[in-house]
Amino acid sequence: MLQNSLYYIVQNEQNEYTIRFNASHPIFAGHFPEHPIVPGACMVQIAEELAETTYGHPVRFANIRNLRFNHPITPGQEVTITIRQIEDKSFNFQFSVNDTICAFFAAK
Amino acid sequence: MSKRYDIASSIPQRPPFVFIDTIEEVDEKGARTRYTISDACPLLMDGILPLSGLMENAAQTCATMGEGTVMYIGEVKQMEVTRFPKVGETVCTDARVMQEWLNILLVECTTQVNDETIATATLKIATITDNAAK
Repeated sequence: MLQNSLYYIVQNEQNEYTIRFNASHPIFAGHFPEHPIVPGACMVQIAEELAETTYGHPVRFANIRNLRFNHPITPGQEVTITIRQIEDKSFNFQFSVNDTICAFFAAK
Repeated sequence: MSKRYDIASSIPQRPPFVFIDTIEEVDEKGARTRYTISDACPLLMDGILPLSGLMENAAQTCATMGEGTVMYIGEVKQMEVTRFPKVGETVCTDARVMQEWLNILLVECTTQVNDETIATATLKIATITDNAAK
């Protein structure tokens, strides 16, 4: 679980989460030395964990589609993540910083 | 005989965020890596490597192809996992360049445990020749 170690939820409103990162987490020492950015794989893991928090049952993604990385996220940035359930076990996620969309994808 | 490749000079990621142990084969058209899942893996969830970890393993396998360049994943068009590997299992990931257009590569990745395919992914990768991202 990355929650409360790599990141913390600072606000949670109706499927919209605001999170902050722990900039001293060891992952940032390796991704990348001198210029830490949030790994795309961690965004997918965060999405899985927030879907679980939102819907109250275990979520394990087996499929993702159209995952786009538009802008890198640095550990000092506050990130807003919106989750929309599109069908039974299928979700859309969007990661943004201020009004800039950094990543989005569909997963189930 | 497989040639020995140095992981640290092949990819920009550093421990603890390294998701490949050995590079078995690599050229500009493809790569094959192996990775044994350990307790120390930073994306381990309840003893298994979830989709996120398999995605990072596929991405780093692609990154080994970028000799002299930095490779960024711009898009994961699709990824499908049929079984999550456990601690102690070794995944073997094969990445093949299917299309190349300017600096964009379309790469198909297949991950196996022994001969069982457990994950497939299609990634779009941008290659950038610069020093800023070193």
